[in-house]
Amino acid sequence: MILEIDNLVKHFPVGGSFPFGGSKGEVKAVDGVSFGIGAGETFALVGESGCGKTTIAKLILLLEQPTSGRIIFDGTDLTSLNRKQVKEYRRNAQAVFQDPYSSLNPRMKVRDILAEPIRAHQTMGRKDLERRLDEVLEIVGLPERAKRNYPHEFSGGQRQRIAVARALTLNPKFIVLDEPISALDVSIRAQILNLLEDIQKELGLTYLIIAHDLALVEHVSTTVGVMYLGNLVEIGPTAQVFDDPQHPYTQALLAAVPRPDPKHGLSEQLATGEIASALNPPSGCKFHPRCPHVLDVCSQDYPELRRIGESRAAGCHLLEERSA
Amino acid sequence: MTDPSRAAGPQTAGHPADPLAPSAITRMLRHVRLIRAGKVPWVAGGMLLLLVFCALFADLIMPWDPTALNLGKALKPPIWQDGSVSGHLLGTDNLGRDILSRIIQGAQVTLEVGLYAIVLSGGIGALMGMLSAYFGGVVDAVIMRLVDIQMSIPSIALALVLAAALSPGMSTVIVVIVLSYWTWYARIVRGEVLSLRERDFVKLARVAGCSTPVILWRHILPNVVNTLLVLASLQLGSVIIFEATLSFLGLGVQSPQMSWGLMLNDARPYMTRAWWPITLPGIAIMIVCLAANVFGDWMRDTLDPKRRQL
Repeated sequence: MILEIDNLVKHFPVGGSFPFGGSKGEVKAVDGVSFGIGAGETFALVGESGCGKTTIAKLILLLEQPTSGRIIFDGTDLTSLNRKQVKEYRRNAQAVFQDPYSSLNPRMKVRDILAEPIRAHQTMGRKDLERRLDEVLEIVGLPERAKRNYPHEFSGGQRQRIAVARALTLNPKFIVLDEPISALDVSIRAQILNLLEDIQKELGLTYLIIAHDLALVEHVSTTVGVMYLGNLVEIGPTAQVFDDPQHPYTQALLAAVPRPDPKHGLSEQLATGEIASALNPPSGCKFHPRCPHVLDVCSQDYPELRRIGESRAAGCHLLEERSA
Repeated sequence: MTDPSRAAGPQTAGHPADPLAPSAITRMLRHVRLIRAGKVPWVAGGMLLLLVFCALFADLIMPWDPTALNLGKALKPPIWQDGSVSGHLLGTDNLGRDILSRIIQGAQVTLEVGLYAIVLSGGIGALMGMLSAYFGGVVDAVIMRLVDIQMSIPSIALALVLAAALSPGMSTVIVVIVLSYWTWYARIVRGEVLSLRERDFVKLARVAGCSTPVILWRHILPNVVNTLLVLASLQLGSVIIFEATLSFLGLGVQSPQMSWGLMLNDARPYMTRAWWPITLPGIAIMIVCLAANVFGDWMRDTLDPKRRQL
């Protein structure tokens, strides 16, 4: 395991700013999530918007402080690092974000954008630096002369290549990809995906992909975690989860994916209603107000994740019923 | 797919809008186009240069000693009007002092007050706004309440109090202007930084391992420079007017030091008998304010790398 997350919790206080009154409650963005990512794996986190998947990415990247829980990277607990150790961690963990228009500083030339991570960590001679920049540009398939330009002179796909190149400059082991293609034109999504896959193979990287696009997840990930309202409801190898989803929420998500098959009608598995508020989540199983198979126990007890087979787990009372 | 550059092929090579290869000639053309874009900014810039020139070389170019009295030549009109005396291009004031020389000398005070006030209030305000927005929480609350308190104090009243407590003079004017204007910068910069802080490139800079000062300096500041320049140019106009107001009220620059506002005050009693001692410094104030505003607008457009291409 290169990364292990243990009972991670992040609550955001809502309302009231100093000195005008206190907090008016908290949003339970991440409410006790545990999973592990093995080296070389591509772990995908999926779920509707607001389910807490991006918050997990921010916590892993140390952009937010967790309320409780542990994040263990390569054997060290990230929640108790000093400044120097944080910096060392950042060498190994980089990120690519969704919007390539917002992730590149419009006032910096590509050369400075790419060199920034290196400059933050070490002093490198001009020649070595240029050579390294040329290397990463070659990896992402951009010409060397791109260094001289500003980000606005590039298309969305090219910008995302620059963002990927930047994440590679420090030679990290682990990259968080937060919706890496959802802001791009459909026509270039495949290019960027293939690029990411090639890079992973070549450099032996571990990916954490945050996505809401199930087709993408099925295509690229080895393991998938399905989130609902701050909890992991199902986790397992992607092929197995997609073939035979165990949790009603996973079933509903997959049923909602359009299939190029005229005989495949809309199934009755679809979840009804809206995702509940993370400010005031439902009791028991948070999915129970929308679940087509709801039982009495669902509104009272929170279903812990139960192991299914060797490498899978899901949190649903139906599974207990079945095994009992 | 082992060769990633293959995937890039159609995008990077031979595309008609390929941005990667602007030749040296097109780069030069960009600048030429800028110059042709309009002459007004150049006139404005010229005016400001003239102001700087007057301020720097006042002692060399003033035709007369601006404080030399000559009651025999009091209130003589400019040379294009009947009754003028030779050598006094813009006429004389009620004590026979040369108005052109006094306007040139006044440029010194105007520029000095303007520069100090803008640099100090802009610097303090921008720093406060950046800290406030970037750190948020208690820091934000304390700084913003300070701004609220400062904004609730009328600046003329503040000038009265400070003039009484310290002594009226140029440094007091600067202090008053800085106290009244830093809040402006702080508020607007805070707003900009609040949105900048959420931009992905700022988060990615942290992921890259940049320290907070580096992020503020390299990522936040360059992206608020435009705003600061526009604010500064607008402020130059209002600072000049504010200084003139304070001096006119007797709270600012004191005789025998010279300022355009003070000239207005000196000339006020004779306004009905002679138009020139009050109108000409007024025109000087107006021209400099206008030039500052036009020039600021132009700078904003030019310094934005996105607009430069258009």
